[in-house]
Amino acid sequence: MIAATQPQRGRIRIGMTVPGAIGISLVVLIVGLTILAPSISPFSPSDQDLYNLYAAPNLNSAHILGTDAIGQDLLSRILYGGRMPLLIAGSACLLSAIVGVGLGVLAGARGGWIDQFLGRLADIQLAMPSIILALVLLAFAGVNLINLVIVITLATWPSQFRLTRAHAMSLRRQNFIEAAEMGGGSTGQIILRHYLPNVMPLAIVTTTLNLSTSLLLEASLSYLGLGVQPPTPDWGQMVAAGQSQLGAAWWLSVAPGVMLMLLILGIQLSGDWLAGRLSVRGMIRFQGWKKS
Amino acid sequence: MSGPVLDVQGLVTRLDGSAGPIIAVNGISFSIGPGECLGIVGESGCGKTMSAMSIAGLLPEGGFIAEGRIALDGVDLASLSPDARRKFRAEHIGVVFQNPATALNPRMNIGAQLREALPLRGDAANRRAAELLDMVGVPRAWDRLVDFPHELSGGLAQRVVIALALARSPKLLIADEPTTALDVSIQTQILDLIDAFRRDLQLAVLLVTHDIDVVADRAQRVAVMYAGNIIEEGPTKALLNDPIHPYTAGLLASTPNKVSPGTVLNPVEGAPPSLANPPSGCRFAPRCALATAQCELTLPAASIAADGRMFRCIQPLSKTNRLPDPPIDVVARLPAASRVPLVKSEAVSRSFILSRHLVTRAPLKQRQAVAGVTLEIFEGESLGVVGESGCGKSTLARLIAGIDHPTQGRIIYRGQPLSDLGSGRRQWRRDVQMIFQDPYSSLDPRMTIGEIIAEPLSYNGLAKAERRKRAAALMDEVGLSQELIDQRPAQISGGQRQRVGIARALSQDPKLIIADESVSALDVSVQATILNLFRRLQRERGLTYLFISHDLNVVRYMCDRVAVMYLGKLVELAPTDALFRNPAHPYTRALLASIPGAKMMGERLRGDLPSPDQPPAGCRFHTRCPQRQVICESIEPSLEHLGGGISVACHYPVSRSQTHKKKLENQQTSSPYKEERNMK
Repeated sequence: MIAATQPQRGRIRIGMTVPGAIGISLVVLIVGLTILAPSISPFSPSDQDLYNLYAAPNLNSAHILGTDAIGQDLLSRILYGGRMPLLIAGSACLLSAIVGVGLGVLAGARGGWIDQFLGRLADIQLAMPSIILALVLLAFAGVNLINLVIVITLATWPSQFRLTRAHAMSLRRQNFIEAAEMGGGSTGQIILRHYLPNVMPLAIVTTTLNLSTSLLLEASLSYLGLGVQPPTPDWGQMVAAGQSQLGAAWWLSVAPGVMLMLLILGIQLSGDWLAGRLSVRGMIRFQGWKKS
Repeated sequence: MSGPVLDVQGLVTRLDGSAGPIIAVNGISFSIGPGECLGIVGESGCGKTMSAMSIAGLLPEGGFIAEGRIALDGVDLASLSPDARRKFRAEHIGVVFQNPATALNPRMNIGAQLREALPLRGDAANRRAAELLDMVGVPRAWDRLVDFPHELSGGLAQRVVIALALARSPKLLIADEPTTALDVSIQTQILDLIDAFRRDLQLAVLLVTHDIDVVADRAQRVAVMYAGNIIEEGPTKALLNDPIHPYTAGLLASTPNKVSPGTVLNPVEGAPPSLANPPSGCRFAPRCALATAQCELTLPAASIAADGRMFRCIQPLSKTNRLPDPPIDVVARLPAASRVPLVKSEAVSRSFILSRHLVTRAPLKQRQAVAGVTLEIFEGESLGVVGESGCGKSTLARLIAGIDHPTQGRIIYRGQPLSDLGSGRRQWRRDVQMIFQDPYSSLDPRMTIGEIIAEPLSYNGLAKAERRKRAAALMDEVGLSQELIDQRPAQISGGQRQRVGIARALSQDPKLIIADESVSALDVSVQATILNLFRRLQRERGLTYLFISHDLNVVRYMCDRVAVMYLGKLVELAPTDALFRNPAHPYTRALLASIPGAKMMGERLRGDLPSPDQPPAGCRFHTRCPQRQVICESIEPSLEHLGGGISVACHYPVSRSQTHKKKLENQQTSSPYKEERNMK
C-alpha cells in the first residue's frame, strides 16, 4: 500500500527536523530580505560611487560587500538581484504545477489516447535539453519577462506531469474511485472529488523541488545574457559580470553565487522535510526527480 | 524422551516502540510434548504472533522478553550466552512463516537456500537438500534445486519453507499462520504435511492461526489468547465443544459453520483492547455479556477446571451460567426467491492482454479470466460464487457490476442488455452496487465518513444539509455510531470501514449488492457482525446479493444458490443444500473435502491450479481430476441441467443416481464421445 494514500489527517503534527528547520529558515530569510530590499538596502542598486570602484568587502566602510566595476554597492545589488529570479522562477513554477498536475491527473485518470498523447508530448519535451530549447525560443521570440516564464515552464512541466500521472494511475486502481463511478459520478466530478485532493501532497512537494530547478534555469539564462537584462540586477547576470575580474575582485561573482546556492539549498531541505511530512518521499525517490 | 519439548512459564514480552512500551504478551505459560500440536487462536492484535516469535527469538526491533522462562528440550534459554542461545534455537526450532513469497530470498535458488540451512557441505549437502524437498512433496526434487522462488507456485514455495524449517531436524516447529496466504485446496495439503511430520518425526508443533476450524482439525490442545493473555487452554475437543471462557464461546458462535444456515450468528461485539492501555480488570470484561463489577476490578488468576483445563475467568460458563441466546432470526432467509432474473450474464468472457507484438501491437499473450459464463441472478436471492484464486470470480463480479466490460457476451439487466439501456442507464447504475474486499482502499482517506456515505447523493444534486441527514440515517441503519460522521477512515476500525462501504452502497437504494470477498479481511467476530448485517438488510430491503467468496463456510451460511468456478469456467451451479450435501462436479467435491472441519469425505485436491494463461485443453479440470477419462482431455463439457436447479459441466458428474454408473458402464462398450452425444 502506498503510504501517501493513507495520510493521517485529523491530527496535524509539526514534526520539525533539524534539516527542515535550517531549510525553512534559509528560505524565509532570503525571500524576506529580497522582498524588503527597498527598505533595507543601503543604496539604490543603480547608484554609482565613482570614487570606490572595485572596493573590497569591508565591514567598516559604507559598502559592506564592496562595489563593482562601476561603483555600484554589491550588498544592495544582491538584495535587489533576487527579486527577478524569484518572480520569474516562482511564476514559472506555479504555471508548470498547474499545467503538469492538471494534465497528469487527466492522463492518469482517463488513460487511453489522451494518456498516450500527453505522455509522448512529455517524452519529446524531456528529450530536448531544456537550456538549448530556451536559447532557441528566446532567440526567436525575444527576451522579456513573459517569454522567460514560458520557457522555464516548458522545461519543467514534464517532470510534474509524469509524477502526477503515475500517482493518479495508482489511484485509479483504488476501490474508492470505482465506488464513485458506481455512485454515478462523472469523470470530471471524480477528478475534482478524489484525484485532485489525493495528488495534492505530492504536487506540493514536487512544486517545491521544481522551484529550485526553475531558479537554476533562470540563473543559467541570465548568466548567458538571455535572461534579465542590465541595469536590472539579477544574480545570474551578476555572476557573469564578475567573472572577468574573478582574480582581482572575486566577491563580485561569489556573493550572488552564494546567495543562489543558499536559497536552493534551503528549498531542497524544506522540500525534503515536506516530503517526509506528507509521506510522499518514497514516490519521488522511486520516480527519480529530474535535475537539470 | 518424556518431558515436554517446549516449556514456557510466565512469559512477558515487551515492545518498546515510538508509541511507548507495550506489553504484547502478558505472562503466558504452556508446554508442548513431542508429537503434540498446540494451536494458538484469537483475534488479530491479541499477541499470538508475538508469543511465537518470542520463543523463536525473532522479535521485531524494540521487542524483548521481560520476564519468564522458556525451556527448550529441558534447557533454559536464559542460561545460555546470546551466541549459544542463537545456535541452540537454530538447531532446535524450525519456523514456517505466513507468506512463502517473502520467506524465501528471491535472488537465491532454493538449493542454495537449503544448503545454507544445512550443516553439510558439497555433494552431501546437495543430496540432503534434494531429500528434504522430496520429503515435503516437491516433485522432481533434484531438478528443482536450481529453481528460483518466483518459479514456484504458492503451495510449492510453502513446501520449500517447510523443508527449510526441517533442515536441521528441529524438535519444535513453529507455524505462524502457515496457510493464510494459500487457497483452500493447498491449505489442506500443507496442513496434512505438517501433520505427517508431527506424527512421524515426533515434532512438537506450535500452530498459530486465526482460524478455529484449522485448529479443530489439527491440534491436540488449544490455547485461546486475548489481549496478551492465554484465557483458556486445554484439549481441543473439550475446549471447542464445551468452552469455559465466554470469549472462547463467543469466537465459536461467530464461526459460520458452527451454526446452521438461517440462524443468526452470535458474535462478541466490539474489538480487543489496545495493548498500550489495557483495562485494569479482566481484559475481556468490556465485551463480555456476563461481566460483573468484580470482573472490571481484578485480573482473574489462572484456575484449573475439573477436566484439567486452565482458564482465567471469575464467571466461567456452566449449565447455570450461560451466554444469552442470540435473537432468533425467524425469516433470516426469504421463503423462496422469485424466478424473475434481475441480472443475467450471457456467455460473458473477459480477456486481459498480457503482452503485445512490439511493432504490430497485435496481442501476443492473453489471459482469459472469465470464459463464457452464463449465469442468472434472481430477484431476492443470494447467489454465491466460489472458487480458488485465479478462477475469475472477482472479474465476473466486476463485469456484473458494470465497472469492467466483457470482451465477449453481454450483461442483461431486467431483460435489457446494458448497451441498450438508454434512459434506464441511470436507474441501473443506482440499482447495482458493489462492496469491496479491502476496507482500506475502498474509502477515500481524505474525506469524512459522512461525505463518503453521501457521495453518490451529491452526484444526484442533493443539498449538503439534506445529504448529511441521509448519511446519519444510513449510519443508523448499518449500526455505525453517528459520532463518527466527521471522522476520517484512518480513525475507524476495519469492521466500521466495511459498514461505511455498505452504507454508501445503500444510499443509492440498490436492488442488487455485489459483495466481493467483503468479509475476508475481517476477524471472525467482526465478520459475523457484518454477515448478520447483510442478513438483516436483505430482510428489510428485499435485496438481492451476489456473494463472491473463497470461504465456503461463509457462502454456505449466506446463500440460496452457489456457483462454482474453475479457471474462468462455471463448473457447477446448484441450490446450497444440494451442493453441499451432494456435489455433482468432482471439483466441487474436492473443494468441499478441503474445508477445514469438514465432515465431507472424499478425495482432496492434488497438485496446483494450472496457469490461467494456458488453461488445459478439453475439460479445464482434467489435470487434477480423480475421475478423468480420455474424453476429458479433448472435449470440453458444456453446462448440463440435471434437474432440481442443478447444472454441472462434467462428462461424468458424481451423483447418487444411476446415471453416473450407467455412463461408466456404457463407456466400456461404446466410444465415450458418442455416449456423451447420446446423453444430450
